[in-house]
Amino acid sequence: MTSSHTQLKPLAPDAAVAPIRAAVTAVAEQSFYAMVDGCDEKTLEKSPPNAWLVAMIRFDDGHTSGSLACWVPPDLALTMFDSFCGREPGQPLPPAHQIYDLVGEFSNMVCGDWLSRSIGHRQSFELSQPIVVQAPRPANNISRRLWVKVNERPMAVDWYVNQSFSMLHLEA
Amino acid sequence: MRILIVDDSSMMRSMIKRVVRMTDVPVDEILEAGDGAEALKLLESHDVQLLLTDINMPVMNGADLLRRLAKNDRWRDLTRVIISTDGSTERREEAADLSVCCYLKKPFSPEVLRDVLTHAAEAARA
Repeated sequence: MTSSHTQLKPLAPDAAVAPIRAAVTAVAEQSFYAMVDGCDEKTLEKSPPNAWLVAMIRFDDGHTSGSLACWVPPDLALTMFDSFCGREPGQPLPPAHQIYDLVGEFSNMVCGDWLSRSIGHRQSFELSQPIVVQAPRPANNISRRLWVKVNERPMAVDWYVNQSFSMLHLEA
Repeated sequence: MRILIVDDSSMMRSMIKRVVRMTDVPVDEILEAGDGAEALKLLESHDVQLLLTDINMPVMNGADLLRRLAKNDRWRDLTRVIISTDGSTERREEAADLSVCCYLKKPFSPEVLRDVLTHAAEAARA
């Protein structure tokens, strides 16, 4: 039986884990004033079971293509919105499409930062517009899924790379 | 000064607008566009001094927008700032060829954006 404080780790350790974690940390800390840590099962168990927002980005750098998706629980999405947009306590809640936009932009920045760390700073890349949908809480035992804790709330990041990823310059 | 913010994320445009208002930059009007084509229409109909643009956008991306502007003397004095997730050397070198004043890579803190805006606004007034 695993402890409820067991750290969640991707089933298939992958060279992408470290730069993705670094990208989430950089984006969350710099643009959202958020703290990022490893995520444990207890944190995930306490999170809302439904209405997570999933924002998927496709990328292509001319040699490699793939995708990245960020899964954000609804309470964290609102907290991130407040930090990013400066919504004060007592101000009206934002409409749903603005929160979707915000989560999409978060994923956009994470994907861009990950690619910059992984393919080197010499080469440019194209990112698709984010597609954001609502979904139930994601499972915790999926390969190529990184779990982190952002301001004490869980967040998952999935990635997929179509071809072998040439790591010209890896930063952690 | 009239400023044009170009980004396909309305939340990013809102955040940039908020930071602009936090600076001492004297602003008459802030215009917004969701892509390069929309931005071009606004530039044709308004006298804009400072352009802040993302790169990855639908319809017309920021790089294509900047290339169009570079070909027309009408916008010779327009101060251009790129705000993008793509901070590659390739993109920065292209930006330098397109008379970009400042290049700000996402993610960034509001404080860094404020400093870039202040610097760009001074360049626009010069």
